[in-house]
Amino acid sequence: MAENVTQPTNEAAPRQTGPLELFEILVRENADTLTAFLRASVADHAAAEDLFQETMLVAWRRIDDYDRARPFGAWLRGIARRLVLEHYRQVAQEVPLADEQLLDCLDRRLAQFEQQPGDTLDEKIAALKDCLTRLAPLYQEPVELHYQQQRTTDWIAAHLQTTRDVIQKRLQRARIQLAECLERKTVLRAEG
Amino acid sequence: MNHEGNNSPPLSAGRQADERLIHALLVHLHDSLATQDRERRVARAMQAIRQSESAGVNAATSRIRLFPLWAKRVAWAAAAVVLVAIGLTVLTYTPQPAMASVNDILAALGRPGDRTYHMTVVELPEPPEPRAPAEPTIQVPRPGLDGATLYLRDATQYLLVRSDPHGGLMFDGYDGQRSWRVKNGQLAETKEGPGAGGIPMPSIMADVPFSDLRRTLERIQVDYKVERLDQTPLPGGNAVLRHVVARRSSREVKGPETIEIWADPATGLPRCIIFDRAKFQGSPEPHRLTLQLSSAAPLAADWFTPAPHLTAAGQSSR
Repeated sequence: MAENVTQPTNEAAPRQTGPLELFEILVRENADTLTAFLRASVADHAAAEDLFQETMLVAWRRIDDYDRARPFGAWLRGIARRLVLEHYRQVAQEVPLADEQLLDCLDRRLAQFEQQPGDTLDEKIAALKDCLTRLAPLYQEPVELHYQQQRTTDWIAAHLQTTRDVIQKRLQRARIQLAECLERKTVLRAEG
Repeated sequence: MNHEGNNSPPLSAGRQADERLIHALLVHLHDSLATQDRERRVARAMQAIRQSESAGVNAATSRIRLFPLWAKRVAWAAAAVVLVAIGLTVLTYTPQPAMASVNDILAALGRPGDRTYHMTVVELPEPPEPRAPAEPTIQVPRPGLDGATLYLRDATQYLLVRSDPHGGLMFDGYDGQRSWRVKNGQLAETKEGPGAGGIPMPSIMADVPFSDLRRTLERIQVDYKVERLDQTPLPGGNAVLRHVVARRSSREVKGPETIEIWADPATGLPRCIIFDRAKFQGSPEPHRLTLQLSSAAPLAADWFTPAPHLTAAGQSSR
């Protein structure tokens, strides 16, 4: 994959690498996880894209504050978390998809994924692929149609001869079952 | 209600977070362009940082605390090289060649002629609703644009042929003076002037008569930034085409997030236009609308009037 960058995390900078280049390496390594955090936090895709850019700008501006003993990804999410809350304060008409408590949960969950073996997000979420194969057909089919084939819930409802509400409910249950499967695999830790 | 009803207890914050996160990971997992998107995202961020640095917005005097002192000199040298590289890229990439390409495309669309575009619409997945599903709503089936055919003449006349959810085909046309609708083989509606108001188009195409693709795409020059310009075939195709990707310059811009065009390298005529993450009238979900050129052959002289479609309605003239 593209991430064949060798262990940039918190290691001393190679001699030929400048601060901005090192920053870019760290950003690239953590970009997918940050994108997942933002996609889970705001409904509007364009807003998530803008928040990604703003997070990077703020991170570079505040790079002095970064504690090298901490994971870079968690530090980025901390910045993103504040920007998401600020976004919801500014866009008053948008129903907040996430509050502070939920953002904290998201951060903890992503930190748990980050502890998984592998260099890339794809490698770290390999268990999710296995969990997908274990879903009951009732849930597997709408998930495949919605995420893999990018079909609308209306289309899936017509295809499976049911209602949109039922499909939305099945998708919701499928996502929860996938989370439970990841807990059984100890990828995620059950929260009380 | 069966076991799939909505009477389950509300989700805890932890489970809501899990559900959102799994959604985001599934989107990532099934996104075939995830790697390219990441690179584009990172490149944009780094470009913005470098621009802010060179503009002196950022006081970077104490930044190097993260890195050893020797890195500072290396960093400045590297930054200089990077800035030169960016400068060269900017000089060779934007704005002249990019805008020249956009201008060629606009000029091609402004030339007289008939064009037939096949339309596809994909609703893009969004994160799940923050709360339990709202009250059930009565869904009235409406004719969509997916699978529709759009005929254009000289940027002044159009004909949109769509499937009617109640059966047959629906024809919405404009002959340059009068707009009309043929449904069930009958003339159902006529009106002076273009009548695209009832057709659910993305806002960028609804602001102006959507027949005028040239005026629609002119917004690239004002509200969008060309972020990519290269020569590449259409996915699944062989012929190398001029490829332009433009991204809206700010969140305030009403319109799709990106507009992607593949155009004939010689004539500039768009073979394929993708409006990505476009909001349609009356629909909150983002969509991807693709217009694929299927023919540039001349159409019958009266093709944009109701007459040829009165007998063919409900059959197929597509």
